Amino acid sequence: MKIELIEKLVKLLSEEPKSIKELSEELNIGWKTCERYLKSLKNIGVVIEIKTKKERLFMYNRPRRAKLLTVPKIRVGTTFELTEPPSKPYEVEDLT
Amino acid sequence: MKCKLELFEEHKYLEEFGVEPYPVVQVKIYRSELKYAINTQALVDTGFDEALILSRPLGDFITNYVEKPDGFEELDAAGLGIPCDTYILDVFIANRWFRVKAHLPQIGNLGTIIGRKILNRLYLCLRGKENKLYLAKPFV
Repeated sequence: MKIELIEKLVKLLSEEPKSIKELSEELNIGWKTCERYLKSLKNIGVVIEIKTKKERLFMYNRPRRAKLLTVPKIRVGTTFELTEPPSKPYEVEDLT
Repeated sequence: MKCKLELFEEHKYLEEFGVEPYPVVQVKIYRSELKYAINTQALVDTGFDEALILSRPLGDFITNYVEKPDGFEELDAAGLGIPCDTYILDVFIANRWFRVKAHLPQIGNLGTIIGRKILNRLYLCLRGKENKLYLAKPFV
């Protein structure tokens, strides 16, 4: 098994659950090969298989959690002041 | 190597007894349901993956106006899960508005923290030796 392929597969699954067809297309590998990789990853608990009526989906077993590397000792921003709301519509960069 | 940034907004490091000085920035927070915009300080934390953590008092204020959270997520703090309600808020910093998912811990108070999701969109100049932090922009 190729390590790079496994890394790519796990990365894809950590973004969202995917079917074997989707994964094999994105990774440019055969359906059977992809299934074999997924079976192995499922056996060691890295991925979970979800069966739907139409297809089998695979999902990464550890949903991503945002990390806070250290919990700060200090507490900033516990006081605040209120000001007038923005008067005009403003341009916003969406990071959600 | 030469730095080609133009500094345009000065912020500072706060000092407290027994704690190494820490960089903070002034931010404005707004959401349409709020009658006001909120000016507050946030700890600059490049170790935080997401955009914003709301302090308990700030969160309590916002929940007076915003009926229910937009979502729920756990933050991972050194392996421990911190359950958080999430709110979509607009944050003003460096003359730009960002729409972000802010985390409000369901228990406790971590203070207000600004993380990499916003910081990685900005130029920051940390001058720890002078206890100053600057927002910057590339020289044109």
